[in-house]
Amino acid sequence: MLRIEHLTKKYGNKTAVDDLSLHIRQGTVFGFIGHNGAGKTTTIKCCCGILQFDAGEIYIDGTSIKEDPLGCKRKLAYIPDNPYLYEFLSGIRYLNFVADIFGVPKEVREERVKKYADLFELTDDLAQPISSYSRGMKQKLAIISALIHDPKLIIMDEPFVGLDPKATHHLKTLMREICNNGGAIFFSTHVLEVAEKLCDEVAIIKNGKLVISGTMEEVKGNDSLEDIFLELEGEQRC
Amino acid sequence: MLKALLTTRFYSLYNSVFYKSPFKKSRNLAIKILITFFALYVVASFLFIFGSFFYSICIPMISSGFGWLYFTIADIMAIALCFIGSVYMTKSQLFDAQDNDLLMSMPIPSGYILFTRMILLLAVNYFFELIVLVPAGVVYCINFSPTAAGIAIFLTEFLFLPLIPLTLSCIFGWLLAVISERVRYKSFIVTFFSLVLLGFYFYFMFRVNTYLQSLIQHFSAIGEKIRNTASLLYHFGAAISDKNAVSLILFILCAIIPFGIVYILLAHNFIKIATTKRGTVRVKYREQPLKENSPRAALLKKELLRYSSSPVYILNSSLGVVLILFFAVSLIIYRDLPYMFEKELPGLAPYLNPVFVALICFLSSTVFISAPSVSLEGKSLWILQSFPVDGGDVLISKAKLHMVICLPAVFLASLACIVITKLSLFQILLTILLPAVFTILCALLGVVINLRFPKFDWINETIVIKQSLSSGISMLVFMAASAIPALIYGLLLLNVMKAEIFMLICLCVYSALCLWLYTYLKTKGNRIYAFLG
Repeated sequence: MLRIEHLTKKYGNKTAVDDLSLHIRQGTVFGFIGHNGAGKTTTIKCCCGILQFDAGEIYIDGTSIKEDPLGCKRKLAYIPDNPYLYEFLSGIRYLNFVADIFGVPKEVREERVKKYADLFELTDDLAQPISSYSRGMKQKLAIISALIHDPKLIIMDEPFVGLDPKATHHLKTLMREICNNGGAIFFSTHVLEVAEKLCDEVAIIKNGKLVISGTMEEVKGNDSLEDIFLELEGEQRC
Repeated sequence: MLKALLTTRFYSLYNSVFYKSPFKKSRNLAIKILITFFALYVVASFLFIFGSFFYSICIPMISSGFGWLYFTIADIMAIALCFIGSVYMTKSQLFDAQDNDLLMSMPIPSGYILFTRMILLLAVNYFFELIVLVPAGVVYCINFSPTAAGIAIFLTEFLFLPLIPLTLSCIFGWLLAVISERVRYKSFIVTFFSLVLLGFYFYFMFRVNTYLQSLIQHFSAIGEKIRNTASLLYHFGAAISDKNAVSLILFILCAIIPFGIVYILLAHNFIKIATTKRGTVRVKYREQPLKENSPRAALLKKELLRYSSSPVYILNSSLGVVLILFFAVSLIIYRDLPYMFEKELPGLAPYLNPVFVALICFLSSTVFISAPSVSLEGKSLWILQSFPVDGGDVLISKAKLHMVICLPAVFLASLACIVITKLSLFQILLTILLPAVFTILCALLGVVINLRFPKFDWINETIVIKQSLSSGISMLVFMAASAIPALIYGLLLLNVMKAEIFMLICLCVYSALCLWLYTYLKTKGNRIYAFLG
């Protein structure tokens, strides 16, 4: 579903992502782990077509993001680490706007808004301007807007930040459901326990370079993901 | 601790003028000099205006024994300017401050926070007071010899006077905060009242000479009326002109007592004020059918909602629309103007319609809705960049917003021209098309300029709308695009070609430019937009 081939991205002289290659298959929840400034967000933004890269290639469902960016964007949904949404719109207007852009039919969008807003307990607040939303409410709205057009691939940067435990549980269930229905999830996280329980495959990145990648069992073996991560980072566990 | 708080307050005031982006090391020195020069120019203009005013009333009033009225007028003007200049700042500092939570989590007595905020507001009030009272005092000293006692009383009044506007702005700021807490269509109400106030301002400015003449001619009658009906105001001026101790004490009490009461009330309720969440009125969502739009229509709708949600955006970028409508109404009111020209200045009559068209274009050039539109995406830029929507369409939707707001007014003004002047079909077409195409050109040009000079790291949208490079360049370019052709024709081509032929050439050039800008936005603009930010 998502194939990253030899991706390199530089900011001036600094190489943020260095020759990174990953393959996220259909039906896979793929965790992307790394320290702050490792290059996770840069990689994610390149995959979403909002950041130009210097070398390499990214394919979404077989289509090159360089050659057909709009075609790729139609198949994916992106949730950034800090969901700055249109503060001047109400929640429902934002969702309707997203549905308009993706051409979601009227009945389908109404049904999905009801389903996901009820699930994340946001229905009552949909008439409120987004400016009045808390951090968690904005995150929930960003998640609903990502689900409203039923994307094949969801790319998320730290999706659990700001969510309450109930919403976190629902999101994890949804992620699994999407993959079971043939979709794929590529997300970055610092919450290693969640990654360990949720992900089918995982990749660890350090200073822009891929350190390890594979199925959860292949990566962690008999240890915990936290142990492996700290070991790769060169840290001793207390 | 107090010193640190005060330094922070004044530093934030400095930053609001010389705004420094967190992503840049320092603001360009040339820009700083330009801002300082502009600020000095504005202050000098105000000093000149007030100086001229006091010069015209000083000798007649003081020579006729109405010195108290001279100083009362100076005091009232100072109070008015301080109030107008600081009321919104009072509201934001006392009732909407965003750093209250942070400060109150630190071991700082809440009284200190309030005190430092008041000191800042007082300093701002002193600044505005200086603009009025310095010219009043200087004009008086030039014409009459002041005594030491007079100067001492003048300075005492200078010290205490800002407490009066500060008290008023505290009360008014509180009312504004309460209203914005309870009212649903806040931006509409703010825009409406701002336009009404602006209307009053224009009306006053049109009649200012009449009022001044009336004041000079009837100041004795006006003075007597004030003395009899509002004797407190008499004491404001009498304290200085008559060196009257009782009047001075009354003035000081008038300044101190209301301020003291307001300060005590604020200090008593500061924690409650600071922790009250002033959000919008809560409306529960009721499920309703959702309207389906095409992506392009959705983009335009989003731009319209962005525009209508911000009184700052509306008032600053679209005042020209009000002026165009005002011009259209004026043409209808003075519809005999073409006949007058034909009768009295028959040689100039053929140029009347081209002048009207040039005026519509000039007024349209003062509208710069599209100029900050790209920057206004701010931190939400990622949304459209990650959506399957053509960047060119996004940019065109911003130009469309400019057109949707401005074109109807331009069309009405063109229609008014057609109604009041006898025109051939060719002239009618030019009268409609030229201002319309010029407006489209401004709309597209604003987006292109903003695309080349974007600013996304803003904290307050006012900075992008009023002070950004894009808005400044756009305003200058738009005005040049309307004025240069008019000047070329007026100075060089008046006797060479007919006005209509020149208008046709302008129409062709503007149309060609529009086409080029449209193509640019759809192709290169699309590529630039995709990776902005």
